[in-house]
Amino acid sequence: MSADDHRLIAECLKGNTAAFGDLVERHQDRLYNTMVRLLDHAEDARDVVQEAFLHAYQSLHSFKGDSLFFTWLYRIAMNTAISMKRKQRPVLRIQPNREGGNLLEPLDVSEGNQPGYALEMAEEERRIHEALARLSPEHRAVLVMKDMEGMKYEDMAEVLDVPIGTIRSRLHRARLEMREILIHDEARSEKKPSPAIAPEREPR
Amino acid sequence: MLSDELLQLLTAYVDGELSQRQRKAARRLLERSAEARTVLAQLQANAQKVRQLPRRKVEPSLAPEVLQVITEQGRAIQRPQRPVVRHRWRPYAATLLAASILVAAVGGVFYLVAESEETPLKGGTGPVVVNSNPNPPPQVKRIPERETPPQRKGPNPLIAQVIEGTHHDFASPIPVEREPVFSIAMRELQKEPVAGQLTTQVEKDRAVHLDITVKNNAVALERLQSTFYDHGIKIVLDPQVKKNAGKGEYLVFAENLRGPELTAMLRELSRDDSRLQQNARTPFEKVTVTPMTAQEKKRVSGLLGVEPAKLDARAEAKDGEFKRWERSAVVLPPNQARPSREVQTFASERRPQAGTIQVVIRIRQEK
Repeated sequence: MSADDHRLIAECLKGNTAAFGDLVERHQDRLYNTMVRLLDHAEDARDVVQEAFLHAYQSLHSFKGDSLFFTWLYRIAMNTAISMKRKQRPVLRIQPNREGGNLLEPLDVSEGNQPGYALEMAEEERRIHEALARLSPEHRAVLVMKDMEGMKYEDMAEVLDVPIGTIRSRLHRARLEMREILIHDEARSEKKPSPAIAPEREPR
Repeated sequence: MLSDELLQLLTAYVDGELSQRQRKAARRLLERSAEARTVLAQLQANAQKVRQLPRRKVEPSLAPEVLQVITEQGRAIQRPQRPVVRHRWRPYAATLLAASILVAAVGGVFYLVAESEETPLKGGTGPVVVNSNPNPPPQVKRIPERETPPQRKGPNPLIAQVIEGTHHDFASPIPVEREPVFSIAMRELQKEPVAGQLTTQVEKDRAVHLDITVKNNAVALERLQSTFYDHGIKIVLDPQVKKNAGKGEYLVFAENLRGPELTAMLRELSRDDSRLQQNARTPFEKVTVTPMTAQEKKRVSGLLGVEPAKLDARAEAKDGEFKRWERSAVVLPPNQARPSREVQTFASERRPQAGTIQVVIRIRQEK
């Protein structure tokens, strides 16, 4: 656990509520990013993150510091998401491109100033996002945790409360499934010309 | 075409979680196989694409909002609670105290009445009652030593049974004199007719007791968790089982299963799992449907907190599929004296449905 997290938790336990605000700010974006990829719904992700922080605050005494604070927080968020699902809110849905126009973040234009670069990147992101959304929630969760968060099998097993062998086999299946989806997607898009790259006619 | 085992080596290579020996094996594979190199390049490229997805940011108002909820709703950090020590004598002591007060009160009233009756009223002519039997028979009913104590009624019979240790009986070996109603090598379940027979057998009763022998308890637990997970059933591990990583014997309590589903799960367990790098061969060896007496069936149902009559009420059966995580199963050591918090949570979250099977599975390593 980082020294800052440790100090802030100690402050919270002494009764300094504002220190918890700092903890939230330190981890909110990372947690939100993961949840939004997992749940494929920005609003649900925000609700889960807020609820997870509230649960974490109330349970702060039970955090022993033998794992990373973020791992502990992540586990609470996962349980919160499952609990929300139990309340008949379909948060773990699979609906590709549900957010439509809001799917993409504003791109960093400085990275690719060339014409068509941003469009190409956006198209690539859409494909990956859709492929992720087509995976089962379990497979999506492990891929996001491994590839986006760079988590170890051990931490993932702790967060999801499953054996390491299960993580290994899920990741295996998830990677192969993702590969299949993207190969099929590529083959399909090669058959029909994309309007985005169709040559424009010269005006006469 | 690469085998699943080799593909697994490649996916684990992408994950960066191979041992030195496995890494060497992966490199040897990559040196000799062009296909392996292509697949690895694709897997690595896909992982890279996921990694490069734009990072979403939550609006900065989240932290102040969280603090506002904490303040407005008066949420506080919950201090650790001292573990609740259950004193078995407490309920009895309270009952004894209440009984003593009642006896004292009745005795007092009786004494006052007797006093008033023995003291003739002024000018009274009533008869004087004389107790002709100086040694009346004791009024306390003695319970025969071998009589079964009354069933404890409560919201969580599982907890009550665990406290009383009666579930130990279900971890006992099958009595030799009893012929198993169905006993087969797990691998045989791959044959459709055999699987069908098992389904028929388990559907005969609403409470089923299975005895499964395994080569390795810990590996079996891992496979069980994986299979239950795939069927959307959450597995709750008792801390003792978790601590021992499944070493040693344990019991699995599952509910709301249907015959074909239970068979399907057992078939999955009976298969070798080449997706796992280690322990690819199934550790499950033999399944036996243990014959039970009517009393035992009732106790299994009671153990799971369901009245057998309710289980048989097919008219009330749940229609359609269960949603993922709607059901749970619990894994317990056979010698648990007191329910852990996890077991209590499991019991409190149970929603048994009529028309389904409640199953107790004893997992034991063959010696």
